[in-house]
Amino acid sequence: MSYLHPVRLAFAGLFQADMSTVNNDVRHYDNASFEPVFQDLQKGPSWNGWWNPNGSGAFRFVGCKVTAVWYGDGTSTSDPAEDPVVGMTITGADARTAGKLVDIDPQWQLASAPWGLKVRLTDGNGPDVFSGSYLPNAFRDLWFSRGPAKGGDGAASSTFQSVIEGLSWNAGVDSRFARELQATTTADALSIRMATFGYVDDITDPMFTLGTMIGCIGPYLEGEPTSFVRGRRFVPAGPFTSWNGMTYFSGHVDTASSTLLLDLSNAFAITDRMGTPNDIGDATIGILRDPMLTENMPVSSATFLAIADVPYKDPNWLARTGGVFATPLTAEQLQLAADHPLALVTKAPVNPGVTGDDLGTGLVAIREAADGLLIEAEPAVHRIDAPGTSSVAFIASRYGVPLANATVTLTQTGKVEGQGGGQTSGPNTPTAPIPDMGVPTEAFVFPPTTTTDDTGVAIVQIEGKDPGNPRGYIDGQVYLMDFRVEGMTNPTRQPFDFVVVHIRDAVEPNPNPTWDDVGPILTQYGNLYPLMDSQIVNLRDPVSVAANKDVLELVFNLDPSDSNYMPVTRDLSAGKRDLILRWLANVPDTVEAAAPRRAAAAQARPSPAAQLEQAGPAADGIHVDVDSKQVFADNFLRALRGGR
Amino acid sequence: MLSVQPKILESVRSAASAEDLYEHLQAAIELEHATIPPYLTSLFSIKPGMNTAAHSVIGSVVVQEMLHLTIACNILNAIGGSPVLDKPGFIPVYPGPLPMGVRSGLVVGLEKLSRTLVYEVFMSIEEPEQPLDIPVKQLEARLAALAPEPSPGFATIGDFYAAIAAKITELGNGIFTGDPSRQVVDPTWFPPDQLFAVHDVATATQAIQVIVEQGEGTPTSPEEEGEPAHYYRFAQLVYARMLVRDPTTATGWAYAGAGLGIDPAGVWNLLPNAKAADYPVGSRARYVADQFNGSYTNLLRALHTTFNGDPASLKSAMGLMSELHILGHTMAALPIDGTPYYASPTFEYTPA
Repeated sequence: MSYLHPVRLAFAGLFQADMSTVNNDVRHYDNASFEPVFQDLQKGPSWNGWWNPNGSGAFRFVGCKVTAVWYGDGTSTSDPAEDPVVGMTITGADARTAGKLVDIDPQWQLASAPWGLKVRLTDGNGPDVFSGSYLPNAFRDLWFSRGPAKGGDGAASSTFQSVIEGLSWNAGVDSRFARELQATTTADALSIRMATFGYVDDITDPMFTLGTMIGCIGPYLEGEPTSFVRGRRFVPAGPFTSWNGMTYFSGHVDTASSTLLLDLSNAFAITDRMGTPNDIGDATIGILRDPMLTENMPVSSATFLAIADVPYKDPNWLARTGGVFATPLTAEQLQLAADHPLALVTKAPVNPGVTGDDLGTGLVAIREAADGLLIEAEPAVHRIDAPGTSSVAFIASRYGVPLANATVTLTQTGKVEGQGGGQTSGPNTPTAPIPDMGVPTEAFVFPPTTTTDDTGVAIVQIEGKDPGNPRGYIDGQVYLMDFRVEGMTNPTRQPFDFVVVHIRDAVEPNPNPTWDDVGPILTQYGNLYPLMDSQIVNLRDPVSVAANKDVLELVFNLDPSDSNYMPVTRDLSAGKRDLILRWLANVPDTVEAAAPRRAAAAQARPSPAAQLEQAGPAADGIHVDVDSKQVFADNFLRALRGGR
Repeated sequence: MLSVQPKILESVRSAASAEDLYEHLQAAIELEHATIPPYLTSLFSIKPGMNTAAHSVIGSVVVQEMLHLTIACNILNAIGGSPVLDKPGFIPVYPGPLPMGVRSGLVVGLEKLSRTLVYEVFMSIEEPEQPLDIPVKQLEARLAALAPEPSPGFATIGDFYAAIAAKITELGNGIFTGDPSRQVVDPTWFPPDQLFAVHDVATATQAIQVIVEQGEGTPTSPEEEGEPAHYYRFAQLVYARMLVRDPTTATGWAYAGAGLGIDPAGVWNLLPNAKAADYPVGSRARYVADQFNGSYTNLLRALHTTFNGDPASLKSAMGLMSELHILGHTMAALPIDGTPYYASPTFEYTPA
């Protein structure tokens, strides 16, 4: 199933996420109170445009190489002489621009997804072994305490799982692995999972905008989810982490080959950027004979059936394996695992905080969810132009088997205050109010419950009515939907795991829009994306926009899946896009300046290098950590706790 | 003056079939392309918001070189050939001579914008066979002293294109066997009187005329379609004055208009003729240089696809040009530790 399949490859290298950060503060969307300084790098106590105001949004593979391949019979090689795929490169597009990493909204920054990302396996000379397009699924299982940094985005880690669609294969490569992969996969797609961590958001660091990527690619089997493993879900007892610092991960029992596969790429805390794990003792995977045994409890042979030791501490284990551990199962293990939870047990010389007597056989580090329950939504991210609809599948299983006839309860989070802000005091604090998210609730319509069918799936229509511009300076509204299946405990779902929906305001059609209609929309993009503004077209200036109408018509007309699509953020409703295109179609190449030319202040902005010189802790000693995701997540979790 | 080896002209003149012209049109494509990285490097060296007039002059020339490349590809396609843009040697080694054995002594490199660069390199590349002697009001005497000597024994690039046109005329309409769907004629980017389908002798010679006149002007006017030809456009930067009509001079023109100089304070001090290997592995400059080279290689691939039967790939190429623009400017603003220099893009073919 998916990349957790006997046939798979592992790759390792770096990734680049050149995120633009001016849009990290929702208040920067307010054209009326926008200040040129919001396009500058953070400085001293002023967050300004945060840590990468000139980001392009590009998402790239950097130096990712295949480290090993596995075959259907369970064997593997890491020797290029045995299989030429080993050592080849996993990379992006060869004849188009880089993919873009996109958040759905400044008020929901926990569902970033690559758009327009191509994935190719190539030796760099001949034709690609395969290539295709990454379906833009967002990351999952984001956590902020993995390390090695003390906190913030540098300590964050997450996994991107999706499918590579629209494949083309080159039959000319003499690789057993390529043949097995092509023969195994279905639906003209492959399954891919990228674990990303060790991200550097310090502009003075040579690794700025880069992080570590550990990847896995395997077959995609028709009917399975594209964005998660419908298998055995390990969940920590606390929010985000277990007592000894592990987070959510997935496993899968491949009954055909009697193999257990675990994806540990995102599971262990690490001590360096390359992913060397924090030593939490010798680890053993097994099955809890006593399904009630909880995390941090000692096991014995009466309560735990050991399967295999997990060599996660071996040198370079993560890069060599892609984070996947596979082990054969005996008939007894296979049978017991069918209706008993799996658990990872660790033995360490010192076990601080042990809640029971260590019997010398280890403690439960993390275990499968209560009753083996798993429920996920797919797609988890929706963009609806009001009035409009979308549909979402709720997929439930127990011990990896579809959970039929289960009731899924669906609720809105309702109003959430204060999301997506940033600096709260000091010079250059944005003055716009932070709008509430999740209201009006009447604009987001869906049934309160649904029931899974024989395949354990319930498909629900969600409807977006015109929210009526509740946020004022930013389009539409962002809603979160909570989903629960009966019997599940709180940690069964990861804390950021919601159906998130951006419902865009209804737009009155207008056959003859003027600059008054389109100017505010384009000005907002100009404010938020200084790179576009300074290097391509000044979106605040109708003269500049008109002079670039050909290229703008091209990019606004592309499909959102195209890497050149504009806006990069993919947050423009069809109605507003239509206004812009109509204005562009009507305007001559040169229009009289109907609005003031670009402000002199913007022209005189310090150059990136000048900013670089001013940046960094050494510059003034009052460096603040402006970490986007961390700031956002902390805010959200505070609101969530406060509200319940 | 941009000169080509006489034996190339002899080869063109002795061509007996369309096939015999393929290598020469391929060389023309490579030559037109070869000017673009030097021009782009000088563009990237301009600091944001500075030297705006110079930026627009050089930018406008780059766009026309892209047009010339497109035209050369259309001609090659029209007579049944297949342009190759995605091979390792397509990008010349900088610094070095331009393709086609262009006159020895002209070394073209990748450097920051300067008056010297524009005068000694860019104007040499674009120099017409017989430049009009247009006075620089304040510098008239100096200009005369600096005028380069003609190079005996060499043919000019103008001669080369004239020979191609003559040979195509001689071979006749029968050689236009190419698939018309391979013609790239998107009117979004170039007007139809500059970029049009090439399908017979008349359209081919007309297309060649566009290349020559945009580059060199005509023997009687520095202007083509209301714009100064490249040579005179660049000269404005050297003489720091717009080219304007002036009835008091012999040619009717003078560099006597509005100021149009280069402010060195508005130019990043780029490392000249940089290679990616000049930047230490693990440095930010190296990461961005590698990305730039990957992106430039992708652009050549997208163009190769565009000119080999899929004109719609031009959209992907346009996107890559924006990406390169961003990466180029990002690089130029990166100081190289321990040196007075800033990082320059390196334009190396690096498929991945």
